[in-house]
Amino acid sequence: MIAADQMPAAELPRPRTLLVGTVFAIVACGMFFAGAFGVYLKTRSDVVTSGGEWLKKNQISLVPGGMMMVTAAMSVITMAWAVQAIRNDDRKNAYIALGITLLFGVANINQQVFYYNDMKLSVKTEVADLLITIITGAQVAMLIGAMVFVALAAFRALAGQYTSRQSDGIQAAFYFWTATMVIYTLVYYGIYVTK
Amino acid sequence: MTATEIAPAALETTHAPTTDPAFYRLVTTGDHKTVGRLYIVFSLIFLLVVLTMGVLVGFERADQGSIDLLGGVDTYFQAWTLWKFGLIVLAVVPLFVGLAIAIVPLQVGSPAIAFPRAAALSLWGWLVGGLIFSISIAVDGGLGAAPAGGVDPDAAALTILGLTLALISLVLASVCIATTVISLRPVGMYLHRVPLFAWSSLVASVLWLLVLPVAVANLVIAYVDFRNAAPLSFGNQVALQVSWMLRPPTVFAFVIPALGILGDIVPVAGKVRQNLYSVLLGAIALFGVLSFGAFVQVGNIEEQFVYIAMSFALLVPVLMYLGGIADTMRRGGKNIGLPPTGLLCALLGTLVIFAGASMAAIRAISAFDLAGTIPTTATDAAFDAALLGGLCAGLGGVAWWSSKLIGRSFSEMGRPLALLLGGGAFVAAVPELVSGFLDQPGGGFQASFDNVKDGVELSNLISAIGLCLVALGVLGFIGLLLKSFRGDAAAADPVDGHTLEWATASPPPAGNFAEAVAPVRSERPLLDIKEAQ
Repeated sequence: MIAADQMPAAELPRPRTLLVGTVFAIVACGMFFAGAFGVYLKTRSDVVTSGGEWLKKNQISLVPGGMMMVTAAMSVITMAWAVQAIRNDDRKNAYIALGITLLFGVANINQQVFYYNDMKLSVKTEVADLLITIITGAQVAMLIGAMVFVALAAFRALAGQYTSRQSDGIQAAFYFWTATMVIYTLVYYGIYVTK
Repeated sequence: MTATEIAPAALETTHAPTTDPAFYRLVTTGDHKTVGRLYIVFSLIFLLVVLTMGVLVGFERADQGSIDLLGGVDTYFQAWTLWKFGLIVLAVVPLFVGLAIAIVPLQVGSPAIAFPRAAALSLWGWLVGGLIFSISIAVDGGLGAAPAGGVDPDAAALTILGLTLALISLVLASVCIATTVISLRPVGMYLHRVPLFAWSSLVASVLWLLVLPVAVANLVIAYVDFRNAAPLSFGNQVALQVSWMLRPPTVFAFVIPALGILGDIVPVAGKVRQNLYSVLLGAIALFGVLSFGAFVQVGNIEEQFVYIAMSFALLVPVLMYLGGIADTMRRGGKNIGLPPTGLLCALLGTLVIFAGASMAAIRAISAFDLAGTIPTTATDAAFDAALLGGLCAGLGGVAWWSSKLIGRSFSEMGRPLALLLGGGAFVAAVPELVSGFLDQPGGGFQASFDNVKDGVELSNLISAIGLCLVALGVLGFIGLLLKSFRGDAAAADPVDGHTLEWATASPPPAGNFAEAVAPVRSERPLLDIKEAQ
């Protein structure tokens, strides 16, 4: 039996630089949307208080937004599937999960484009339409960023960089993807549901 | 030492494009020291432009009867915009960012900054954004139109775009700095053992991550509005919409690293340990929490209890911090002797910031009506004190760590410049408070006012002279910095330092440390080794 003081030192944990950096990036994105929502809610309150009409009647149907919510929720599940697969060194499942996540991302953008056409926004004349376009557009931009992040993580996984011992990149992509979908949830409730 | 797959030093030597031209290597560098140096150099160049605008605006206000110097209300507003927003985004914050990018990895014993390419990208993004911002103002742009006149819409859109790009780049730099402090520390350097400058850089970076994206959101909305027939009427008032960046408590978020610079210099100069180190860490963190002011973008909040209470509470951490520093100076006084330039600049700068916090508290007192429906120049007083005090402390940091930045010790002929910088900042700020009591409205939309009381012109003149002193101090500082290049090469530890940045050569080699950093046992690892010997 080896005495405790003769045992080799425990392996040092890798610096989780990418995870920490991703969390800070998420905070920055969150504050961007907090600022934009602040302007949106204040402007809406001012218009409603002064007796004006914020959105035209039936301008926003909840069905496309609801479908986007379902897509978003499913994409978070597939992203979690990818993380779990890579932790189990199940590379085949990880590739499938990352691929499906990216597919959901494309579907989400497609749904948003459909939604824009459905809402018939006039950014040059209506304040509400302008603000909705900016906030939802920024969310789509964040989604595209998240898709690039997932794609990079997928390429690195293909190259064999991520394993059960080192899954930081996939985890970081999962955090960013989830944050993107949480922000979509806020958009869904704050803009589409409460109108 | 934390484990990595490939030692960054090895990476830098294997990937260094040694045969490429120097300019190419400079532009593509991922070395944090070079990126930090470039940030500092460009911020000093921008600083000269920005201070020139400040002096012009100051002298313009000294004559309330006309707008002769700048030639019109629009030009006045443009110069004011460049002065106020430029001082934050082009000068003071980048100066701290540059110092942090260059010094923080050394302080935490890391061979590189986290995400070195992102740090380099932030530098070039900020530089391009800053140039677009400045040049677009020069070609009749600006942050929206002044009420009495107009600006060129395309140039104004460019101004918004440039400012947005510069802010996003600073957010990126903040991510790199904060991540370095959180995840690249050596074994044993827990957060309560991090050097004060690294800690203050972490707190500041987190605050900038919380504040700057809110400004970016406002600017993006303004830009889209501006380019789409302005249904929101937001684009025309973009300066007003982001004016909360120029007001307390947000202005103090931009100068948090000043506290850390002072806190790292004093114990080394006094050759004593800092008592109650955790209290000082807590004071910096509290200062950061209380300087979060993005919520002030909602109007009419400055008369509410929370805002007033925050304005007064901000004095508490500054007093705590200065108390701790005063105790160290008392114990180490006989060792300090004639204070070095870095210490003088950092001390005077922090005292001016404290004066600014006091002015912010006075401004918040409802009975004085300084921050009411028409904010007075008391707001500008807090801005000037905070930012110019921060500038003074930041230059102190450059002087103190010059051996690590340029491999040469900063000339001790800089002591009078410290007095010029600190004194000038104080002289520039206090009359603004007096003008506030004399009912002079703040902001940049008008150069002259009808309803102000007698004495405003004199007060404005004194303030402009204060700005001139600061500008002279900065010119002298740049001159001495250039002169320092002709001095002898600095030793690795010319100040008998306590923290890890002094454990490597001046300037540090690629990879920063020749050997792995030993486990850290206290907040002063180098002093521990020296005492053990």
